[in-house]
Amino acid sequence: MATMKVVVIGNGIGGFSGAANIRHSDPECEITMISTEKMPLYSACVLPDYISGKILRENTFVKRESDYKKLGIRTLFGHEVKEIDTKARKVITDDGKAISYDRLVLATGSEAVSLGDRKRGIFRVKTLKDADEIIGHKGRKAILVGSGAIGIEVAIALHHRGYDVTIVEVMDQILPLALDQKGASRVKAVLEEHGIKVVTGESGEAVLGKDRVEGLQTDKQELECDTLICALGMRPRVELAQEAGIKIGEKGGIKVDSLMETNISGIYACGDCVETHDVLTGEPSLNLFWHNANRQGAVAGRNCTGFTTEYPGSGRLLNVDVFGNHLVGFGYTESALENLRDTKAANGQPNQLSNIEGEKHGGYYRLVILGDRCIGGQFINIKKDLGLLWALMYRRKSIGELLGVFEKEEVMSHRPYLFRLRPFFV
Amino acid sequence: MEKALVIHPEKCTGCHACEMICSLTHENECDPNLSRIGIMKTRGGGTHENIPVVCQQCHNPICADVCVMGAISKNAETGALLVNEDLCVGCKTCVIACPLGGVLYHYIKGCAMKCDLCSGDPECVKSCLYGALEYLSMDEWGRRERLKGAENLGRIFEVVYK
Repeated sequence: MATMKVVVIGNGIGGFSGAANIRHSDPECEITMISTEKMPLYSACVLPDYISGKILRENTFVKRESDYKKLGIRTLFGHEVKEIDTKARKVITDDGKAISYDRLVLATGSEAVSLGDRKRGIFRVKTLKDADEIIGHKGRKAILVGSGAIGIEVAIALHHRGYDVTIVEVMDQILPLALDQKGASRVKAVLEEHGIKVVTGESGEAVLGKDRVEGLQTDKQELECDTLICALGMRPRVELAQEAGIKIGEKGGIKVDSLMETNISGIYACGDCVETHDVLTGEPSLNLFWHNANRQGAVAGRNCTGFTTEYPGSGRLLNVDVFGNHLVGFGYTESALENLRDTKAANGQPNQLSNIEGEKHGGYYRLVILGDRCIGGQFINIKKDLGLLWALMYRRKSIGELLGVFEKEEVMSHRPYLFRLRPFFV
Repeated sequence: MEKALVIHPEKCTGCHACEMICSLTHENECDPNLSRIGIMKTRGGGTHENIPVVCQQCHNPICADVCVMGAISKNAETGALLVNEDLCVGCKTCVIACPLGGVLYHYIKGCAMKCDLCSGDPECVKSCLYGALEYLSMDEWGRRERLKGAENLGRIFEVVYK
C-alpha cells in the first residue's frame, strides 16, 4: 500500500497538534502543512504580554522550524490554499500548484472582527503581525472597543506602554462572557484604580478622522484617540470550506461529528474554525480557546490515521491577570444562560437558574447553577481547588450527588480531596 | 519500566518533612510555598486527616493541554511532566486546570512549578519516615494492590467458612 498523504491547512495550535498526532500514530505517512504565515507556531494568547514588553518576540514562539523537520512535516509557509477539489482530492495553492491528499485536516482558525475602516491607527489583535504593528505605532491615547478577555489584556498592556487607555463596551458591564454584574464591577474598580477609563453601555458608531484615527463617535459622546483597537471577538474562517461544499453549522463554524470529521469523508476539521458541542450544555457552540483547539487537533489527527477517538466536547476556561488580581471564568454566566433556559423550559423541563456566591480566602466566587448542575463559575483572587471544580463540571456531576458524597464517610475516606470543595457549597 | 510516586494517605502523619526536603532540593531553602508536594489537612470527616498532594504525572495531562506555550512536556525517561521555565509565561492556567492541585505557581520566578520526580530519584520518598510515600515501578505497585485485595478476600473467607 502506498503511503498515505495528509495535508494540513493552517499552522495554529489546532493544525500543529493535528500534524504532530498524525506523526505519532503513523510514522510513515507524508504530511504537508500549508500556512499563510511565514513562521513556526506561536502563541496568540501571549501577545498582550509581548505588547506590554513582559516577554520578547522570540519567546512568543512555541515551536522552531527544526521541530517541523524532526516530525517530518513538509511545510509550505507563505502560501494560501485557494481551492479544495473534494472530488479529485486535491488542494490548489495560490501559485497554482495542486497537492493531492488522502486525508485533509482543516485548521483555518479564526479572524478578529474589525470595525472595517482601513485608517491608520486601527488595529486588531489576533496575529503576531498585528502585535508588531501595535508596537511599531507611536500613540498616546488608545481606545479599546470591546471588553472581552483580549480587550482587557491589551488595555493593561497598553497601559504599561504608557498609553492613556479607555475601554468602550456596548453591554452595561465589562467581560460580559466571563463575569456577571457583581464580579465585573469589582474588575472595573481595579482597572479604574490604575487609571484605565471604562465606558460601558455605549456603542461605537463611527471612527473619526480622515486617513488616520482621531477619535471614536459613540452614541452618547465623542472620544478622542490616536489608536483604536478592535477587540470585538473572533469569527471562524470558513470561506474555503464553504466553497468546497463543507457543511457550516448554525453558529458559523464548520460542522463536525464527534470524530472531528466533516460531512465529506476524509476531510477533518479542528481548531477555531469548527463549532463543537459544549460539554456543559450539550449545545453547539463556538468555544474558541487554545486548549480546545489543542485537544481537537489531537482527536482529528488520530482519527485521520484510522483510530476512532471521540471528542468529549469543548469547554470554556478563561484566565486573566488584572494588575495582580487573578480572574477566572468557567463555563457560562447567568446572563448568557437566559436564552438557553428559555429553550429548555419549552421542552417541558424547566430549569431553575440560581447561584451560590461568597467570599473565600479573601477572594470572591460565584457559581452559576442550572437545574441541578453547576454550569459556570467566576472567581476573583481564588486559585485553589478550581481544577477539581472544573473536572466535576466537565463530568456533569449534579450538586445533589456532590452534597450527598460529603455526608458519606466511606466515600470520603477514599476520595478525601473532595472535601476541598465543600467550602464552595456549604 | 515507568515508575510512579505512590501515596498512602493512611500512613501520613502530617510532619511536612517532605515539603521541607522538596523545597531544599529544588530551591536551596526551606519554604513550604516553594515545595512541589504539599500536605493537605482535611477537617471534619474522612478517615485520613493528612493527604500528601503531588502531581500524579497523568497519561493525558490537562495541564499540558491548556498550556498556551506548550511548556509542559513529558520526559521520556522518567515519565515526569516537566515545565520548561524559559517558555512558561506564568499565566497560571495550568494551576487552575489541574484537578489534583499538582501544579503550583512559583511566586519568585513567576512561572509554573511541579514535581519533576527529582530526575528519577525523589527526595521526598527518602525523607518520609512513615512510608506514606513510595516510588514504585508500575508492576510492583499493581502486585501490592493485588496483595491487599487478596488479604481482604482472605479475611472474608475466614468469616464465611469458620
